Amino acid sequence: MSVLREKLENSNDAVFTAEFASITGGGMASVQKNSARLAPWFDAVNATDNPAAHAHTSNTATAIAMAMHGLEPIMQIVCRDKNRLAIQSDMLGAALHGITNISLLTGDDVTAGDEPEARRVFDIDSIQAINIARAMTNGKTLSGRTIRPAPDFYLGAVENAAAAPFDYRILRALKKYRAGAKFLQLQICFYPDRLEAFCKGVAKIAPDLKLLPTVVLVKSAKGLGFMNDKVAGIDVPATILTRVQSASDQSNEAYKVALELASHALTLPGVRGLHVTDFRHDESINDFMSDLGRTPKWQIT
Amino acid sequence: MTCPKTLRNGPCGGVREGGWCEVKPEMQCIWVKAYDRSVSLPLPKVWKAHFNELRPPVDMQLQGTSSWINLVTKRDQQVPAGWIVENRKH
Ligand code: SF4
Repeated sequence: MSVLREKLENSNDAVFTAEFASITGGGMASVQKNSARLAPWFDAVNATDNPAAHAHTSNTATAIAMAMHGLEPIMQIVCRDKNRLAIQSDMLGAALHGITNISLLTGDDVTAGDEPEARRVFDIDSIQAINIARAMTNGKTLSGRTIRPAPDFYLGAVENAAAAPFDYRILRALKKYRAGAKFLQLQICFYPDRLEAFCKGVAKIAPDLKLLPTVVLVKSAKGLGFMNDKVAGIDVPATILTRVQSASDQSNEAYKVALELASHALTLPGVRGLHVTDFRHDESINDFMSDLGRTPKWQIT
Repeated sequence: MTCPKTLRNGPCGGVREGGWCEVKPEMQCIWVKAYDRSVSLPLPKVWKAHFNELRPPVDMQLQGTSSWINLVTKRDQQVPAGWIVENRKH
C-alpha cells in the first residue's frame, strides 16, 4: 500500500518527499545510514535513475534497498539511457517487488554527465512513458500483451515551472495529467513569481493534479553557483546569489533562503506538500523540517 | 535544427534561461520557438490545439523510408496495440 497515494488522494495532510543520495559504493551500510536520516520525516523518497547523467546503482536496485530499510520509494525512470523495452522492464520489475510509486522523466542529456561520449537514447519521452505506464495499470504492455494482475502503479512526473515557455509549462503539466500522472514533483525553482503563476494555472485546469514543489538545502553561495552553472534547467537569480555571498554566515543565509521559498510554496494553490533535496548532508534537515512545523514520526536520537 | 533529445512532446525541463537549448546552448530550444510561433502566428485554432496533443512514440521501422508514401498510406498513423490513444473533446 502506497502511503504517498493514500495521503495525496485520501487526505488533506501535507506530504513531504525527499531524494535518496545516489549509491555508488558504501554498500548496504550507507543505505541504512541514509534511510535512518530520512525515515522520521518523509512519506516517500525518490530512488533516482542515473541522476545528472552519472552512472550509479540502478533505480530498481536502489528502490528495493530503500524499501528494505523502511523507506517508501518513488522509483524514477529516465528516458535517456533506456529504450521502450528497457523502460517497460523497469516498470514490470518494480511491480514484481511491490514498488508502486513510479515517476517518469525525460532526463538530463548525456552531456550533463561525466560520460558525454555515451549514446543518448530518448527512444520515448516522459509523457509517452507515463501513457505506457498507465496502459500497464490497465493490464497491457505497449505491444498489447496482457499483464495479469495489472500493476497498481501510482504515477508521477516532474515539471519545471521556472523554464520557458512559462505559459506552456502549465499546459504541459495538464498533458502529463491526461497521460496518467497524479502528482508532479516540480524542479527546484528560485523564482517565487514563476512558481506561483504555474501553480495557480495548474490548479485551474487540473485541480486533481497534486503539486510538490522542490526546495534545495545547500551550504553556501558556491553550492548555489554550482546549481546555476551545472544543473540543467536551474537558474539562480543574481539577487539570491549576492544575498548569500555577502552574508557573514553563508550557511545560515542559504538555509534562510530555502525556508522562505518553502514557506511561500506551501501557500500556493494545488500544492500538497514539498520535495526536499538535501545537499548539506548535515543535521540541518531536522531543523528545516521542524521550522516548517513538522514533527518527526519518532524521536530522533 | 532539431531537438537533440528527439522529443515528440517537448520542451524538456532543461531549457536554459532565455529559452536556449540545454544540450546546444548556442541554439534556441526548438520547442520554445515552435510554441512562440503557435501563439504569435495567425494559425487556425485546430493547428494551435494540435501543439499540445500527445504524440505517440516514433516507429523506428520508418527510418529511411519515404514520409510521403507513409503519409498517403497512413502507415505513419499506426500505433502499437497497447498505446492508449487520447480522446480529447477540446
Ligand atoms: S532544450 Fe529544447 S531543443 Fe534542447 S533538448 Fe530540450 S526540448 Fe530539445
